[in-house]
Amino acid sequence: MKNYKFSVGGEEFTARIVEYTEDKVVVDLNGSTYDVELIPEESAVSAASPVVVSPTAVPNTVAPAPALRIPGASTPAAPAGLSAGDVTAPIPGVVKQISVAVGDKVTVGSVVAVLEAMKMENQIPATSNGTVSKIAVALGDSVLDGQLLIQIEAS
Amino acid sequence: MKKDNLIKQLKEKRNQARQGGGERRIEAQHNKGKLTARERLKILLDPDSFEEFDVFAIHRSHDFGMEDQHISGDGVVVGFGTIEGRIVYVYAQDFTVSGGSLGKVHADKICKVMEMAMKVGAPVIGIPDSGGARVQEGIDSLAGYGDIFMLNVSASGVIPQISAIMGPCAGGAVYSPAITDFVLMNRQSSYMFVTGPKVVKTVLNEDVSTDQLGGAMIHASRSGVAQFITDTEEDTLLQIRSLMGFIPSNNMEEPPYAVPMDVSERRCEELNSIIPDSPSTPYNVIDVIHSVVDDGHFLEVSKEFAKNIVVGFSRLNGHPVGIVANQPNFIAGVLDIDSSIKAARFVRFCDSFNIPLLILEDVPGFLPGTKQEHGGIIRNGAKLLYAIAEATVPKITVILRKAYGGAYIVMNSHHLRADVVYAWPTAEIAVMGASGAAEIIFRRKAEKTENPEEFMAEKEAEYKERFSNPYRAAEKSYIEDVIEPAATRIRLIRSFEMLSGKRDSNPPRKHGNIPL
Repeated sequence: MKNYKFSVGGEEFTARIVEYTEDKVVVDLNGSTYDVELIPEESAVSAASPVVVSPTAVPNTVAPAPALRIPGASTPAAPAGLSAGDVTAPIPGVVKQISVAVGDKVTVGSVVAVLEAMKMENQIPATSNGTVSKIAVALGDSVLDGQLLIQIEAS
Repeated sequence: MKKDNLIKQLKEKRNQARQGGGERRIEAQHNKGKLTARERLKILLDPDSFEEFDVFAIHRSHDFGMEDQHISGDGVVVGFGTIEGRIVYVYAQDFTVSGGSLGKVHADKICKVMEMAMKVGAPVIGIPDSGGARVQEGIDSLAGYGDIFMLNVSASGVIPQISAIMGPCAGGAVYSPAITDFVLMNRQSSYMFVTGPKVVKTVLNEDVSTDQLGGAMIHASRSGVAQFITDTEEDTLLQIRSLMGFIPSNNMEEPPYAVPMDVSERRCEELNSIIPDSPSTPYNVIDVIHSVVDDGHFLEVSKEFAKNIVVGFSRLNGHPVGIVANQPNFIAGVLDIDSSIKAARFVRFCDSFNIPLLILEDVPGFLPGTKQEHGGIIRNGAKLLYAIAEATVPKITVILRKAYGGAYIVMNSHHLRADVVYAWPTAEIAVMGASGAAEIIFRRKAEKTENPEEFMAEKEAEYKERFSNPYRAAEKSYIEDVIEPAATRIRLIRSFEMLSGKRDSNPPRKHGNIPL
């Protein structure tokens, strides 16, 4: 497979495509492997987020990576590719409880999950009104700051 | 008869000047859901209190056909008026005149009221609504910005400065509001950025909307630039009026007293049961604030930003206090970069303007992890420590529950010159949590026993018994007293009254070197 060399802010990167399928590319970037999910153009959320990338080290879920997450490069403040209904982890922690199921109706502020972090059972509230369309984590999962927990579809 | 004509002429000239950019442009402003500069001042100030200066000022530019375009006032309305009877100076940029663009005369008008405000000791409230520099005036326009920035800095900590963004505020212009004490934005018309979406697209090939880049919500929740966010322009203006209720007119004045409707000796029985039985269960610290303060009234500042710390103004027996409280309800109330900066800036405002500080503490510590360490939690956390240690206003702490490690020191401990520290019986004041401490002290010993886990559990319980309470600190006089939660309001009012004559100072110096 092809090797790509490029530099960002003076830092050199070598990208190697490990595997290429219709909807997924596995890329090796300076030794770290990333799963790049390809979204067909017509269903893409916005032009700014054509791909969703997650390090293979993260189990179960797709991290809300801001475009291509490059080690060493600065990450934009707003995670692109997230929509208003996405409930994300505000702090790294362990999923202690999932309080809703797919199809449940929720309102802003209602608790959708409990995340244990800093020895506290942090209640994670819904960020929009709607119906739970996806639960992206399982009980006991370790999640990173900003990782998608639950998706809510506006109703 | 001649004099009558002169007066008629004055009235005509004045009426024309008050039309700003004319009917068509005023209509365009209204169609965008925006008020005009004069309409805004009318809502902000007490009825019929506005006195305008420099309504006839015109620019002195002779380039690019500017000599033929003169509009009285030069795109900004300045003057003074009152809020609840107190003098405030104001300037409101008028977007209907050359897009509110800033030229030299426009800037001079703003500087004039700022200088007067500093002489008199009255707040300045600015309402930016401007397309930016008046390009035709070239470097004169830049000079105008520079003059304003310089006065913003000179006035910092002398008089309160408030900026209500009501339209574009882009490029260098953003740095004037940035220096002021409070920035207010509304969802209808405000946006702020150093470079707009078009430049972002050209330089970085990043597609971003105006709102995503620098809208009210972004600055209120992510960047922390705006301390207040409202739905409409009108709400912003009313918000300024209520904010003014808590702050003095200058650094030599006490904050405004208001006759309390609440009873000073009121017990707050609900506080006796507010702390959950399990130390890992959160609660809302705002409930504690509402219960303790006069009439349950709390004006929260930077509400959407770094929600793990709550800051804002209330009154205790009629006297304003600045409250800083850890919020267990959001990421355990941990101290991180954003919450440290948010609280530090608030503490410094209160200290500048003689507003006593009340710290409500329930903090598990500083947030660990690469994101925080690489982001500089060391130098940013130090800001809060510095701000609290430096503050000479009356400072009282109530430890509600957790007070661990370095975070305990930072959150206005006696060691940073707190005047009074109270603890509820639920307080846990220790170097670290019991399990971590037992791990460090007894792990080696445990491995030599038959059942290490049982031994560890025993030691953890022992540590908890000995240290996870307020009495160790009380024995050493690190806290003044352990108080019944229901008595918090009474104890606080008495202590703040006891401290009302407090005089403290820092060593003479040019200025300290806060780790910015």
